[in-house]
Amino acid sequence: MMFKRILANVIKDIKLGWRGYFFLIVVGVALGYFLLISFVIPDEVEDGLKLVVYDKAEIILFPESENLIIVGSREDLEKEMKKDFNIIGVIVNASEKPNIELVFQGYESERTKEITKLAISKLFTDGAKNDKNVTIETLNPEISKKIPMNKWFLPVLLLMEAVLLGVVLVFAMSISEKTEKTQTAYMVTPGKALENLLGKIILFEVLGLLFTYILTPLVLGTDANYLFLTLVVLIGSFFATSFALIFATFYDNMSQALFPMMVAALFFALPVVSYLFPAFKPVIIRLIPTYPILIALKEAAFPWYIGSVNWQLLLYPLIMGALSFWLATVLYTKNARRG
Amino acid sequence: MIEVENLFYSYTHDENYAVEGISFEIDEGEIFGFLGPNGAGKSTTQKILTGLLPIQKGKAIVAGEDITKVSGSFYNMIGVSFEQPNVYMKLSGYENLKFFASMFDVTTEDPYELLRLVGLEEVAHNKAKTYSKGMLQRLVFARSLINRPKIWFLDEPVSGLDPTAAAQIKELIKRKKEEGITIFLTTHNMHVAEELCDRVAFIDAGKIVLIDTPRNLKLRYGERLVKVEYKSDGKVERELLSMAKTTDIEKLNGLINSGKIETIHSMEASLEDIFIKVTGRGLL
Ligand SMILES: Nc1ncnc2c1ncn2[C@@H]1O[C@H](COP(=O)(O)OP(=O)(O)O)[C@@H](O)[C@H]1O
Ligand SMILES: [Mg+2]
Repeated sequence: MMFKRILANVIKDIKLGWRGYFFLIVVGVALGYFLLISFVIPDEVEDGLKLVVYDKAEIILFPESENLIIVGSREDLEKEMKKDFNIIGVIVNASEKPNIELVFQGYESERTKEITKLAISKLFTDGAKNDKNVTIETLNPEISKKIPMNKWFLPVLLLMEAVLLGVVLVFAMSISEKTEKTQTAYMVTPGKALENLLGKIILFEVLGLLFTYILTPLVLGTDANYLFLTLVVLIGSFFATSFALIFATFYDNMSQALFPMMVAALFFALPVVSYLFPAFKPVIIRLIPTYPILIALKEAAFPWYIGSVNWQLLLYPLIMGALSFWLATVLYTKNARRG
Repeated sequence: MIEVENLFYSYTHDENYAVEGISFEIDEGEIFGFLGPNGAGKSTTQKILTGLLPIQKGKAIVAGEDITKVSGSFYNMIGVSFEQPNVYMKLSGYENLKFFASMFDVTTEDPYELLRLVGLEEVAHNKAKTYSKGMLQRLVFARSLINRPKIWFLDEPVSGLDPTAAAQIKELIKRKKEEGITIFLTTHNMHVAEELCDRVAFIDAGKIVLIDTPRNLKLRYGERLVKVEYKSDGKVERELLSMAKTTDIEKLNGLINSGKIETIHSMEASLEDIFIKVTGRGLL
């Protein structure tokens, strides 16, 4: 009986989603992002050569300029590099012959590295033949295996759309149900809040997977770990939709809900900052359940450089999702009884 | 089938009661009407009896179950029609009925059959948002029958309907009564109450003023009236005279003797007249 009711709710919500153009939106956005990744975002950032130099040997003759920053310690050098992820670090060690160390961010392509190496060794030594003296170091070794810049954004897009899509659309759906007062009609049937809300959860799982299965193969082909990816999207979407369902119970119309909805979506997108700037990961951000989800999305998308995937990452979002879902069912019942 | 004892409800949780100490009983197979103006507390009472509002004070037993303790299976026995058209606007009439039918554990009606009964068979597959107000109301009404209820709650079942549709709905209610189901019906329309109800409760400002059959109410409170039209100084005058007042009877006699009367009709008091007499206010 419970299964029959869940099924009826799922069918109803999929119909409502279809008629609200949710499926069209998801397919359109996925294809749009594919075009963006393929033709707009470059494979790599080539922005001229920008250097930060720590000159232990004190042999630099050039003045500071827009493209050249001179610092007095290795710490300062790394600080500058964190501020601007297009910058390349140069350490000139004091020794008989100047010995040069290049510090890369990790995003740079092999070509950029080679060009930099050549240019630097020309500048500081007597010619390319001395390039033995140039050693290379990378600040973020995990990204040094040249994931092209554009593909690097895929996990972010998966988080924003496949996982957080539900946040915006579930508000729209709940508010339309409130305006129609169908919850009240539902309350005088044997149907449970849980059965009703599962309909929405499953609708957004389906939409999330649809987005994932369109965009990921287009961008990565068969390289991704699709099994893990599916699981991450399922759990991520479950958490995000459940959380949004809690919030949606407090608002009766879209204009009221718009601001909190944006705040909620932005809050869940905060881990993206840590993703783009790996050095920035305060505890506050790591506590947001979308943080482990984003990490897991990265692992699922680029399994070949991370080695193995970490299933435990999903435990925290799963628990938070279950708690949110439970709270949403309690609030649903309360809310429907009031009207 | 329904027992209500000293029920109170305040939306604001204070002394400002929407329902204030009402008590009544409804027998099996009876149509019990709640007649009162807007804001009297009719819908609030229905919401309490269907578990949509919690009981704050008092007691209500519906189909043998204490309403504070009902579970999902209770809803298999009752049917509820609402004042507002609370249906899924993006689903068709058929899809709405089909969805709600899936929620019940008991044998349900065929959605097409119900749509036919309320005259919506032609628009069965149109989205509800294309329906007129009256059509939506009929859809909500049809939905309340989907689980073949034993107790049927109808909140203003014919208000807003055109006369033909209203007649159709009233016929349906009478037929269901013949099948033996118990009906709780709210209305602010005296004709509906008079035509359909076995017993009527007058409700005003959250309180039940009196409960009786329409016939007894008329015998007890209704005064017979006579409407006369007569000529006076070349103009036609109209007057309503009560046969319960000696002054009015004398006046009527005087008019008859003067031979000025043009038309004369005897009138029965309506439930509204009685309502006004008892509560001091009208139904609208
Ligand atoms: N949701 C609500 N919140 C606050 N007050 C309400 C609410 N619903 C109804 N009321 C008030 O309760 C009283 C009874 O309303 P209601 O039961 O709807 O009357 P009726 O159905 O007889 O027209 C009215 O004064 C109305 O304003
Ligand atoms: Mg009402």
